[in-house]
Amino acid sequence: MSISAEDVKRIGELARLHLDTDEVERLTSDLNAILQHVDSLRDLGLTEPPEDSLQSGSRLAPDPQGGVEGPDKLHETPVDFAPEWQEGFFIVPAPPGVNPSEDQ
Amino acid sequence: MSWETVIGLEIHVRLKTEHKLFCSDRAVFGSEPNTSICPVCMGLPGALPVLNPEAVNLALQTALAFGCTIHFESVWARKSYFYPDLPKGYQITQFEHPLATKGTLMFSGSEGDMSVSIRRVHMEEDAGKLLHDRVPRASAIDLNRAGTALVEIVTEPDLRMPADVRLFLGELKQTLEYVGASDCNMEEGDLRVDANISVRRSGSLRLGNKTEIKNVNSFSGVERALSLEISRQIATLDSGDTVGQQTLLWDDHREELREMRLKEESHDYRYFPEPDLSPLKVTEEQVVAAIESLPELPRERCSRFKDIYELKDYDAEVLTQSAASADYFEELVGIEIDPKVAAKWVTGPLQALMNERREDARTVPVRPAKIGALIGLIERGIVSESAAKSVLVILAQEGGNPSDIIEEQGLIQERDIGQLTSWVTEVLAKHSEEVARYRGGESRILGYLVGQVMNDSGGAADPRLARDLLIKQMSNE
Amino acid sequence: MSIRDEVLSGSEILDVRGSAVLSLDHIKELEGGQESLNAFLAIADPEELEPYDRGPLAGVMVALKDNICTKGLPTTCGSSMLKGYRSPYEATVVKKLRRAGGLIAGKTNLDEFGMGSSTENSAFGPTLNPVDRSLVPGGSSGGSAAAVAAGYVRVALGSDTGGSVRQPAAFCGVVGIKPTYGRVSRYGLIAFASSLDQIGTIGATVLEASLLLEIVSGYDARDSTSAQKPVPSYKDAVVEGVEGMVIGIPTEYFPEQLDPSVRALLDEACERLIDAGAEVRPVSLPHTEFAIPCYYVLATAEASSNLARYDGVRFGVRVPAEGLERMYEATRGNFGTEVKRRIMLGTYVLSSGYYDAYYGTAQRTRASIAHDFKAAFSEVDVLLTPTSPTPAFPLGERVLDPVAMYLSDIFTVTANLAGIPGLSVPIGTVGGLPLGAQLLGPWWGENHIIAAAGALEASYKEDT
Repeated sequence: MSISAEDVKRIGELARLHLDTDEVERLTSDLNAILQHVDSLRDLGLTEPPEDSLQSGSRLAPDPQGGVEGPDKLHETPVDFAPEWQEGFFIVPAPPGVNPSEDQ
Repeated sequence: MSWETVIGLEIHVRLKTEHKLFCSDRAVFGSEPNTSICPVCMGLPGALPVLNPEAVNLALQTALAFGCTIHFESVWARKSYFYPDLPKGYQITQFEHPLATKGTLMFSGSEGDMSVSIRRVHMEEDAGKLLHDRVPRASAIDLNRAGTALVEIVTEPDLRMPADVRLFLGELKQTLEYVGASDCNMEEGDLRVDANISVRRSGSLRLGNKTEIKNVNSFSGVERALSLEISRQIATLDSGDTVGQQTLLWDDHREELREMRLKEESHDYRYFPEPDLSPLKVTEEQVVAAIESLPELPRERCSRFKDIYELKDYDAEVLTQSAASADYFEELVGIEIDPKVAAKWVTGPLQALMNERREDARTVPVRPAKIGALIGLIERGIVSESAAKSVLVILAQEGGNPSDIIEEQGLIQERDIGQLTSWVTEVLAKHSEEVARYRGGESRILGYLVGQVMNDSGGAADPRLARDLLIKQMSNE
Repeated sequence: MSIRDEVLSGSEILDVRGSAVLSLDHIKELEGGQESLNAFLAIADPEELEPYDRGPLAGVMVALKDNICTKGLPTTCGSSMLKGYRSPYEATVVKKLRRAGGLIAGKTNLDEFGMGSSTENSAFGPTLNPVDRSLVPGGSSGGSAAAVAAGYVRVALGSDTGGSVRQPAAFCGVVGIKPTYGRVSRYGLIAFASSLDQIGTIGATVLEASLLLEIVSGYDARDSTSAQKPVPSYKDAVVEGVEGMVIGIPTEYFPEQLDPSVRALLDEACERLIDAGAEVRPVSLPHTEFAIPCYYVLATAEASSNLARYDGVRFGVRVPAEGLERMYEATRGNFGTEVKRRIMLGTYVLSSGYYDAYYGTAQRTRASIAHDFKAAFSEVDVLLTPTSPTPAFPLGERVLDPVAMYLSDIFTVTANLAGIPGLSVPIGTVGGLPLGAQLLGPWWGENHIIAAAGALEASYKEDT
């Protein structure tokens, strides 16, 4: 499988990464080089994982489920780390299609 | 040309848990914004989710109420999209392997008993709230709701008419309340409905292009939004155009559907198994326990009420509207109150009292034993029914015993013939015109005259005795 | 596990008690000067240290990789995205260190979000290898390895997603341990790839790295992937010896093109283990050649999702722009080249129509790799391999060739994919540069690889 510059632009939008023309070009070639290696996986022709094998990292550990004593307390409030904070709210520019009130 | 509508629903229900799904913040509403938040539900770097088991039992009971097949192992997945109310940039949900599949829900619809197949029931976390009216020219985020526990119930496209959608949702809500899975408070967004809708030629098996209606939080809103969209789709098809796939937002105030303009790629949610959580395992014992703790569901209870208490359809339906009022009714029957009388009191005066006090049958302060005693006093002729209603109000406000209140308030029914005769004589003297009409054969006027006696006696007269005396005096003269 | 007071005695971690304040000033002086290694992104203020005199780590200075959330110091992940960010909560491992009496010396440099094998991908400049300043220290925990190798601290924490503790330990001539997945809590470790990430320890000696591991290990209710397994005494394991131990040599880790001088040092390590009483036999791990592509699919897929939260909304840096979408893109423009490359790859392999071809296939390959290890560990106790095909390489050599950079992880990624523990221990030099041997053990078998590493280390020590 090879990836086109159009694919790279689409993926960039999906990941909210702004890519200029140079970046698109470079990423197209980088990703193709990497995917060429990745394609060897498919030559392996695995359809089912081997029996009693471990599916993913999280399955390696036993399952404790529950038992946290309480929420981890914040030793700083959001006003200290939020990029924009007003009257107890995180503030962002309005999303597309939304017209926030002009005044309160 | 006749058209058929095909409707499928996705219903998000907030589970009634004390804590959020993946952290131990309390699931609180109506409090100050951003006060029930922690590193986990804020999606801070390095924070990790830990499952809250209380949500699993509620989700299990929900799925079992629809007779779903429970999967002993289900898998958490990440659903990725960017939106400011979604802290991590992904929602933890279930995708390929949901908690439960294949159930049904019966309801009384336009064609009598109808059923809708439930495709799946899965668990997921809620997003926060994005508010557009708090600060000028920007949006404000409150993350108190972020991470609270939801179940998503997905139906097969079995519904055909907007009115049936409303009735189905009513049954669904009632079922969830019976199970105790959710408060189903629509105003607080406990129950949110998305509908997929398409139109095809009658008899065709192929589905037409569908649109999705989002953001509806009242059942009547769903019905109106669907009706509007069906008309639009049919008009489009009639004019020879095709319906485009789109997402529509329902605006309840303006009663209109607005197209949600989404980037083309925004439906690419890139689901993959959540690596921070082990698959959700439920044991056979957990499922058995959930089945055993499942209450009798609304439809079963309603038909039982009709069968064994011989109630009218309407009374049985009203009584089983909520598990609390059905329980209340059965407690009354348990203390030897005649079922029909009990039904009349619960659906009548008690319901009025609860409406006024904004309470339900579980919280209303007048408990069944008190109403039972009151009904006993009516049956023994000690208090009139109308006086008993005011006793009920006093019981709710001040507590105490019905018999004491009746005595204190002078509500004991007057049965002394001498006293009654003097009230009757007075009324007849004042209403000679009505007396003449009665004698002229207008027997219905009798009720009016009884009412006057009751009035003059301040409600103390025994209405049956007063009636008898009225008839006697009017035919004597 | 409760931390036992007898875990450490003052002499076991050298250069500590009472000297903490001096050391910090000394580090500041060195790192602030012309000869700076740029190993630290932040150094603690000596005045702010809480001088614990109790606990197994009393007075011991520990350096932390800067992707571990720490109170009182910035946590940047080596990224402009988190420049100046102070975490409002603390990682479980840091709480454990403090409770044990440890002193947090500072935060060490890393490849941005742990993505790299050379520490050149830091937004705050590369770290230099103290052995030879023209070389990389390895990565991504390059700052931690350099800090230990330079003698700033005796122990440090790193994190290992595909070799990020073991490879820099090897490049800098120190000891690095990546424990079994689930052994150490990840709560407060800023995620790169959640199913592969594991906090590991770096120490000047096997004993020191093992002692630190013992302290940070154990179940944490805040990490569902941490395991409720008893933590054995790693200190005891260091001197357990290898008498009767069966050591496997996986043929796939000694390809024909392997540098003969690297092979020779590994052969010598083998001989020393045999002399110490171990038995050595060849084994096969047939899916090894697929590990790198498998790793790059899974790690980038998870990373693309883990890095979605850097959106300028709740914390960290925001680049203001007109409208939400532009704000997202402007803010996320703070990611460096390698991070962008991996987000792109990860987003692509998860996107509609490609999921099964890439992610699905990689998951199945991962299962096969784990299965290989399971079969091997039914025959042998530990495996011995090179940590990296080469010793440290020159700064700048591989930055422009991502595939070459990815291939330098070829011997280490398998342990992360399978979730097994791995350790790198110095076994001499090639052309004057340190070389590491990797010991891999079965799930929860850290004590076995520590025992083998302890025996090797003792054997080399006898030479001097």
